[in-house]
Amino acid sequence: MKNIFLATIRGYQYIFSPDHGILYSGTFQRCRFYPSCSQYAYESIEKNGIFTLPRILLRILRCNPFSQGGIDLS
Amino acid sequence: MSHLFTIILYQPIFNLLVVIYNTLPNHDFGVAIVLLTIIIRLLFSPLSIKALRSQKALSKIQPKIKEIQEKHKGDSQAIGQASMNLYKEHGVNPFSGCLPLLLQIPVLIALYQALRAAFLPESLSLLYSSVHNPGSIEVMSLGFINLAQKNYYLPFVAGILQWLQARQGMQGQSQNGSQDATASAMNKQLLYIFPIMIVFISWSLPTGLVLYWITTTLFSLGEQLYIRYRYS
Repeated sequence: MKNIFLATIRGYQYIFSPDHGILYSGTFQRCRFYPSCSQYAYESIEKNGIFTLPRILLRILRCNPFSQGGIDLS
Repeated sequence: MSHLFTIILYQPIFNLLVVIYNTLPNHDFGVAIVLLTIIIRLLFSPLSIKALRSQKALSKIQPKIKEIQEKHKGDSQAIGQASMNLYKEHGVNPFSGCLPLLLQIPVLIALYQALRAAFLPESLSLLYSSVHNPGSIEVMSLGFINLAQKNYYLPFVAGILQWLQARQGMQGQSQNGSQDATASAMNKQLLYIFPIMIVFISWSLPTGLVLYWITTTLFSLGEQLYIRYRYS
């Protein structure tokens, strides 16, 4: 289960993410945090399993132009 | 989950679309799609305008960003961390974030479903009781565009507009000088890859959806221009 999630995130990063993979361009449509939301999700699940999903969801909700952003480690 | 999606997104979008269709004097569903798209984009515009303004503010701390890039050359992790700290210090963050990007996906899916369902008489049962049921919806827009079928020209219009938008965005960035060399090389590729993808994808979609994409791209172009002249 965990591995399915991890593989999905890697796939997303490679194909769709503007922060990683083939679409990486340094454009401005990207994550306000370090590490990026998808990387945060990857590291969280790797460390603590899929029960950290609510926390990941909160992180994504915080990742909008009205929040400060910055460094937020998993 | 899918029921929730129907109630929160699909059904309101579908109803709004039909309300607009009913209100229009010529009952043109294509025009209704364009208007709905503009309404949705206006709802999102506080987010995108805030992000675009922040990008403008970035030019002030540009020398410091260059410094960081020189100092940690080749170590993208260190560059990422150091620039995030710098943004925080100066209260700017040029990125619009993941939420606006991800929010657009369910809206897009709902719109896709609404546009596909619109021409099926049975889906009109999804209308709220207060919304007038038009009975059926006219497939032709402006008398010559069939919204339910593929169109061989509009995908190219969508692709060209996408290219224009990407190029405009890139110019904005190179004015700030906020890019390192590898990023700008990647960007040059992206300038063509994404528009070509858009042409291929919209080639297989009903024209109503392509019309949505064209409108939303035009809206982004306008937004970028507005910010550039308003705040420069």
